[in-house]
Amino acid sequence: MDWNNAQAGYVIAAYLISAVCLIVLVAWCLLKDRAASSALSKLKD
Amino acid sequence: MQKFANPFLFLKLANAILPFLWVITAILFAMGLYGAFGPSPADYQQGETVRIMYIHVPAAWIGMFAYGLMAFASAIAFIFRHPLADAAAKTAAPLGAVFCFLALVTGSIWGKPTWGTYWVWDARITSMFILLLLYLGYMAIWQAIEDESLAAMIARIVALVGSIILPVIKFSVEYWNTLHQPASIMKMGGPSIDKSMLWVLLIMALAYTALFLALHLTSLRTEIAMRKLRNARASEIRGN
Repeated sequence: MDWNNAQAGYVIAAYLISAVCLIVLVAWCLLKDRAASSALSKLKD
Repeated sequence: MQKFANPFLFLKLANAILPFLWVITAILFAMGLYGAFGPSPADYQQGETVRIMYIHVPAAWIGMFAYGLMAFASAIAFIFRHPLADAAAKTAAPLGAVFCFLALVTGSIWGKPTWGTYWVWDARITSMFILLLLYLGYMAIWQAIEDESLAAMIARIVALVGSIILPVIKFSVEYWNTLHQPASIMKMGGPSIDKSMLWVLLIMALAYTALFLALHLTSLRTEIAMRKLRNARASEIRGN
């Protein structure tokens, strides 16, 4: 990859937006799963 | 299949598979990103922006695959009344919406240096945008209708009727005169992409698929837990 190329900015923008969206999606799913399973285990107790 | 529709068995299986699936996802992403920024060459026409293809195409595939999964699960829910089918469709929707959104955004970023514009209302892009609206509408049904069985019924109909958009998206570049290029991978006669780029694209497609499966299994596990909680609270209220 030629980082000094004029098109590099578009590539970086696309990868950054994708990375942020996917990381937020993963975090949202994992946190929701954790909250649900801890609420369920509290209920069982 | 009937056997795994049992939530207890499903949870056992999901808990066993998920750690491996996360590891496989991480390895595939590491390989794919290395390929995308390392050995993969710049395109003779698109230049460096060809690297956007490695995240745009898999996002679009998964955006469509998730809706296909929703429609299939909705059909199963209609026919067999599987306890997990509605939950599988419901949990696939927000994931599919994010992948569909990413396909539109990354395509738009690629469009500016290549076409000279971020957006055109051509058949492929418009049909993908309609898919995103279908996802949002489907999710809104689950949120807006309090009666869960009524929400499930309407959501199944929307998922099944909306699945008409999938062949429209696939064939939009063949039946209409679009700015979006025609299929270059899933076509008669094999892929027309050079092997030096094709392997990276396929690895990234596998990475996105593994990520979607990991997220879907996790969301399905959450949904089962939420249903158990709702049932417990409902019986508690009835008991009082």
